[in-house]
Amino acid sequence: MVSDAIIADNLWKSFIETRGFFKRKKSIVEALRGVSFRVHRGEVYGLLGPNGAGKTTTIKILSTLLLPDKGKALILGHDVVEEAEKVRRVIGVSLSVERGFFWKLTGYENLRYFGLLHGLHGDVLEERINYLFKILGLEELGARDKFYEDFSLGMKARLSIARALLHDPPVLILDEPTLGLDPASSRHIRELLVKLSREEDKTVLITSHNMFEVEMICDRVGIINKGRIIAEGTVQELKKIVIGSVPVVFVFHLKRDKSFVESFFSEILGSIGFVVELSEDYYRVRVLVRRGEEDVIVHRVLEKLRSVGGRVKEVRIEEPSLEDVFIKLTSGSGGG
Amino acid sequence: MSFLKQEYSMFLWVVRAELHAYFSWLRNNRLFAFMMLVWPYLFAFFMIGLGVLLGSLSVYAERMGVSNPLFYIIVASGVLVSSLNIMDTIVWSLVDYKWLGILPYIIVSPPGFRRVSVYGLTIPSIISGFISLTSILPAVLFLEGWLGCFKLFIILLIVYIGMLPLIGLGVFLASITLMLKEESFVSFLSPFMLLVSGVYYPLSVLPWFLRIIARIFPVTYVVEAVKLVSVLGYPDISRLLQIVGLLFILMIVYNLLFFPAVKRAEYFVKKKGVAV
Repeated sequence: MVSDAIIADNLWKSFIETRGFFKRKKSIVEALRGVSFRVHRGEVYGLLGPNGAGKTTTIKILSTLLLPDKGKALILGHDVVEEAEKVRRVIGVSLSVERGFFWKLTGYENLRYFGLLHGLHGDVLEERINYLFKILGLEELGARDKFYEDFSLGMKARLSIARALLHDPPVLILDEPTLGLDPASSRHIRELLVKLSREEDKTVLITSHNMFEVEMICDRVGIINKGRIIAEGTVQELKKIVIGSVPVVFVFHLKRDKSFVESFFSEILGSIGFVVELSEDYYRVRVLVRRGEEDVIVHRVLEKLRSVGGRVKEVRIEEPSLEDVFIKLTSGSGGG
Repeated sequence: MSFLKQEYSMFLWVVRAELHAYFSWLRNNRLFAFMMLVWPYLFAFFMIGLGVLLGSLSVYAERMGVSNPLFYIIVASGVLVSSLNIMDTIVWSLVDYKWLGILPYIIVSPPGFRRVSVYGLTIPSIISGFISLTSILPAVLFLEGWLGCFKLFIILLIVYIGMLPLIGLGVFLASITLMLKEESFVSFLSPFMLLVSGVYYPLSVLPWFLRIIARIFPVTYVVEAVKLVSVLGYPDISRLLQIVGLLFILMIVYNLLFFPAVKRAEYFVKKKGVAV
């Protein structure tokens, strides 16, 4: 009995990018630089990282879609390179919630195709599709007889997870399963993943940008940045990294674009980590400040914001969260 | 033995899946399914119109060496359309899978990329070829009666034999498309096949280099067989058998070529990650 369902051991991967037509310029992009982590059986593990950190590359290697340059990865004891066929039987994969199905086939027809490809047929396949339509709420959304091209993003995401679950695999590998979804669909998928882990003992590996989601459902988290795992542990363990720091949140209106706001805060804060989000008309900037320095920073930011015409709606001090761990560990890499 | 058993299971899985997808797609795209039936007639009418403009049907019959020019043009159009359909189905299916984002899920399915490329794409191409060719059955029945229908059955068999090397060629080209960023280059294939197949004119009118290329295209031999079958009465059986033999040789050559190509394409896709 293997206790670790997924083992990634020192994975390296680089890509060659070519540019230009007549003069071909080649550059090497190092996507993974020694990624190592382990996911225990029946656990929900979150791989968290900014864009380009190496999350999707890691997922593709574990799904047998990409060959690593160096290193080893095992799924339930099977090597993803040497025993790819065995690995494929025990994993369910969802890579992009927006595509990956026949546009002119209905939800039912699409699932049936992938079920047949996994060797299911007859009553077994019908029952499985019915079960998945039910637990994913696809039946009530009318996905059975609707063409995939008419699906909403939420329906597409649910169908993608249904496909990953079709052959009832013990390991699920999901790349940003709630990306761009409405709150109801996101919550439905989160609850389902936790249920699958707790009640059906499935191992779930997800990648995400969404700290809240990761904090809610993951038993353990690995933070990946620039092709390396820079921290790993339970959410509580990771939060210890930011003991001694205080997150300060500024909510304000400013008629400038996001890149301006990012460089504006970089200038004021120097090496202090922060993350910028734009929601409707308001910017929300979360700054991780050393305890005792919060008054000075708040004063400095408010003064500068006023000078560029910013209208401050709210300034509040919060409890440290996973987002702060992320800010602290990845500060200097764009904030996320 | 267990290897064969496993391979047979995988073959069934892929065939079931592809049949389901193909028929579901046809059912959901009825207008396209109807056009598949009409397509050979459109080709035939175009050629008859063009032919009458340049001469008479009897002159055409004499130049092409066929006894019933109308019968020949319709059957040849059927053969051409079915051959083009076969190639299009094989080549474009993989490209479509890539564009739709389905390819990664095919790679991670138990049959994997190679089996789906080979077993999977053969099935829809057999069906599309069959639909195109049998759509001309009413015209054949009208022009040549039951003997014509029998000849059409023989031609269908020859088209299927001609399809064996086409599968190799198609999968070979499809594999190349997966390794390129500009997949649409395979669009050239249909007009090129039309040019070198010698369906509507004798191959002797082509320049020498195209005549050589024509000799390595299976469709050329299928068309020659159609000409033989299109004579009044019974065709030259020994030449027909020669053509079948040549098609088998082409099948071996192309299929020997395409197995390493598919393997290479899969390696490339997995090394570069172009599928996702």
